Amino acid sequence: MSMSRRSLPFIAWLSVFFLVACGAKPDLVVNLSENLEQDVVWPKINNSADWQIAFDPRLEPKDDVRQVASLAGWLEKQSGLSFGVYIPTANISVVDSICTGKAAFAVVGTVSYLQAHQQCDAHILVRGLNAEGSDTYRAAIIVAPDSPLQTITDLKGHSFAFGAINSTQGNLIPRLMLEHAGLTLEDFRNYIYTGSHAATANAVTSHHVDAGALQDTLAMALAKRGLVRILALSEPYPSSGIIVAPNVPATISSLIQETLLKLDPTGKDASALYEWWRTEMPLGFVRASDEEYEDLRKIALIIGILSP
Amino acid sequence: MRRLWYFLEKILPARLTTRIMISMVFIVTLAGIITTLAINQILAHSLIQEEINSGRAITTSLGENLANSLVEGNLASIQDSLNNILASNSDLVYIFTFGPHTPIVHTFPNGFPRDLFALINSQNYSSGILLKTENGLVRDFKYLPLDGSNAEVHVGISENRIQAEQRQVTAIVLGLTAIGCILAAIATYFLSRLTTYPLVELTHRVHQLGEGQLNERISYTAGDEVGELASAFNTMADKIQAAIQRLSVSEAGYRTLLSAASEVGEGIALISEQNGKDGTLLFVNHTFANLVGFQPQDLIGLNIASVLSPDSLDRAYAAWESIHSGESQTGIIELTLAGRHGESHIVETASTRIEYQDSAAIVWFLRDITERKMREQELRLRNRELSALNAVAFAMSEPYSPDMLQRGLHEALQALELNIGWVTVLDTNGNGHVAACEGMQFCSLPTRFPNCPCGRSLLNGTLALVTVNEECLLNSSIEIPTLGLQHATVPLGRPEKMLGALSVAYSMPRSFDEHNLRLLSAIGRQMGIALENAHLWEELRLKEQLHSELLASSLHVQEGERKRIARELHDATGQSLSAIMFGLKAVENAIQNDPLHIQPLVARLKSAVSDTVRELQGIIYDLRPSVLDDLGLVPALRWYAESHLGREGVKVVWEITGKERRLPSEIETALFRIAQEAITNIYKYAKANQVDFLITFGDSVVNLKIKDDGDGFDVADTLGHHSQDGRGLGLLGMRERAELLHGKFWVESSIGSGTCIIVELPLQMDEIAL
Repeated sequence: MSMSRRSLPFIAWLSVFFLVACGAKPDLVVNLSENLEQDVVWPKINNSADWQIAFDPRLEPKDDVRQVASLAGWLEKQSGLSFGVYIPTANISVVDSICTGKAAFAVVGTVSYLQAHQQCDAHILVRGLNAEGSDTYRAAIIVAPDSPLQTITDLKGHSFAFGAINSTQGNLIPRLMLEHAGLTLEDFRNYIYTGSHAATANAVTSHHVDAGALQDTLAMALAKRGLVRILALSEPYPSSGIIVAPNVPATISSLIQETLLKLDPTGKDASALYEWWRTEMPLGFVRASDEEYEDLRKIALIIGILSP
Repeated sequence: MRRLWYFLEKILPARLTTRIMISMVFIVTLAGIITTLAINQILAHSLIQEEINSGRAITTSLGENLANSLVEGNLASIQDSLNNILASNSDLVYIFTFGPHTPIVHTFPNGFPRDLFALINSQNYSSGILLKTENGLVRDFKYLPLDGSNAEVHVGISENRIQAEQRQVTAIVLGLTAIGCILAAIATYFLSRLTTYPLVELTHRVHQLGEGQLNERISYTAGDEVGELASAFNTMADKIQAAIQRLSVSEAGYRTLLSAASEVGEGIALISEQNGKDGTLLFVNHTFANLVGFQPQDLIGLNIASVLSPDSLDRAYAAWESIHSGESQTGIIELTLAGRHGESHIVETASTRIEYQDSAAIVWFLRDITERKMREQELRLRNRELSALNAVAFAMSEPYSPDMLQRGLHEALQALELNIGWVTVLDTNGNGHVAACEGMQFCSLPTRFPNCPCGRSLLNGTLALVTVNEECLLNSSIEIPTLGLQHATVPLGRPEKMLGALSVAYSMPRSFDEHNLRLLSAIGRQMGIALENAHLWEELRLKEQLHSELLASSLHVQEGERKRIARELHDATGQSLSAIMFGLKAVENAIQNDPLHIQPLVARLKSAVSDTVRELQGIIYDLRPSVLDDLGLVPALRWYAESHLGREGVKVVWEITGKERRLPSEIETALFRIAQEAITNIYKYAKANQVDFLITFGDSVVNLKIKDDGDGFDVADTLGHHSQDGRGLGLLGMRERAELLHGKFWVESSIGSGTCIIVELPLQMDEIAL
């Protein structure tokens, strides 16, 4: 047998080894070192939705966006209209977005509604049902579990955290509570607006402030875990809802209203919604009217949230 | 499957150990490769999946972390987060993100690659998009932190580590596989050696068994398959030993048979039977080997064609083919063997088929019949010669005549298978003429004959091969061109008595072979003998005729002599005896009647008796003179010549030379009778005045010469007409007497010149000297 024949098995044995690895096929060929854009690059925005939904910042911005986005997606499915999320910025608030037509609808707290209504005659379509099924909500003043403060009046001389300045549960209702307790902002050693209920809770739990005001649901959830102690709980006030910009056709407005009333967040629509249980309308919506917020409107005027 | 098996059989080494090693290495390699492939794929899948999971997690986590900042447009925070994340993970190649109201924030130090715009607003794959970059494969993961808003987070994770790990694992596994192969090969080698050792041992024993060491056995008693094989081998060896023993006995018998056959001159060979054509010599006996000039061992292994003559190959093969086809044996076939030095041997062969050393073989018996063939050939040639000679002899078995020679020539040409020939005959004077010819237009001897080349055979008494030239008889006697022709000429007769020559030729340029020349010589001798016989017969006839005439003459002379004797007896002796009778009667009477007259009567009777006796003596003396017996030739001749010539007045002169002595009786008688006849002829016919007698006594011959001065005669005429002339018979008688005693006789005579008779007789050793 010749040498070449003898070496055949060995060559075959070796060559197999080189056939083992097989690589994946790339989807795209790019060059990361050339054809570079030196300037600031703005991506091409694909925003083709017909109707934008804005929102009052309440939770973390991303949660707010997701929740509203999930609602928008549900509305789109239900109504057949295309919905998008309009994210208010520091420059353009939710009220501005409604009143300037950037957003057609908005998920807002009471204060923002009152402002929008005052500013551009935005109307409220529906109001949320809280975890108890009530269409009212409360505010809670919390302290750290080890805080010595026991009553609202004990807050005097201490630091205090409000939520967003336009937050009903985070600012408006706690102001009433303080007022009813005879306290004003000057009674605090210092006070801050955290911008959200979660930030307020963080400020209290981290002892940055001695007390804070936030939504009752979050307060009760934190208190249940022993993270905070509820110092005081407010009276029920009409909860947050969804408003419509004045330039939205009545038919659309009516359609959306009726559609929102059918929302079943804990039932068939639960999967379409993002952490809806963390919203102020965890159990859905009830019909709302502007007249029902008259009392709050008056309070807001009093405390200066609304300009006269 | 068979093809695969055949292919494997071709490329795989023959050794079992090697095959097992190769198999084990192959299995380990295959397992290693499969394992490597599997591990490679699993690892790749796992790593990629891990990467994907990690990428998704990183991207998701990053997206979650950046969501708020993207919403709030906190670019600094976003950039910081991107940089930190990128720095914390070496697998990350890039990160870029943008929010609803923010530009693209990225980690590319030199600018954002425009190629990545394709990823923005693209379809989101859960496993990311695999990019091929200049630095290798990068998997881009995308996360939409703000559902429903234009915000994306992209993380590019390099797959180099995965591939490196993949390669590393592959290399490790392959290395382990290679090590495994080596270890497997080593282990297999030792294991197979351990396993095959008994087989090797068994193989060694089998080789020993094959080399004739029949006593070798294997002492392997394990109960495994090899043990069973060893046991079977031992059993087989026992049986083989017994069989070989029987075979040896049988072979010894065969060898004895072959040896016996050799001793009686039979050649025997064993040829392997391979398709009946290509036979190898398996065995030859000495007789066979000696026949072709080899030693037996030199022929073993050679092909039978190397000892067969080429013209015998086909017959041999045909015979063996018939055996191959089923015949038990062939008939006797004659073949030719080619010896080592080129000699040929004709052999009688017969073949049959046997089993030899477990394979079919052809036994080839042969007997050298070369000598017999040569003798047969010789016999045929001899027969041919005899037939030719018989034909020639028969053709010439008659008195001499040209027809006889023509027939003889014709038979000679038939025997020689020629068609041109002629017979030259010499007369008594040595002159030749063509007495017979065939195949020639005319026949006349050249003028130089017998001094021409073909006549040389007559001069030398030997066969001559003559190239035809212009003076040759053949040149002018045939129409065909004679250039290059050759004729052979043989003398007819004995050197001391040439009778002629026989010449034959081919009608084309061709050489005479030895056989034809030999046959020609034999025919020449036969023809010469026949010719000589013919001459002798003629001479004999003439002599017999002469004898008859002589006998008749002799009888006539005898009758005449008887008459003379009877007359003389009657006239003289008879009367005298009658007178004596009367006288006796007278005496008888006188005795009774006259006794006194008895004495005178008796005296007269005595005188009468004396006269009678004298008369008888005269008669007797005339018949054969006693002086010849008593005194010899010379006195007898003197007496006779004197008494017969002298009384006629013829003078007789005597001359005696040599040592006169008594000669043998037959010599003296013959000379006396010859002289007596000569004397008779002289006083009857010659009318001579003088006759000279010369007798010469030599040591070995005696010469008698009688010369007269008479009338003489024509000798040839007298001898030719001897029947008409008594002198002729007398001369023939004289010659006959001389020749009877191996002598010679001459007669010289011519009319008017006298006659001379010369006789020469040889003497024998036992003569009587005076």
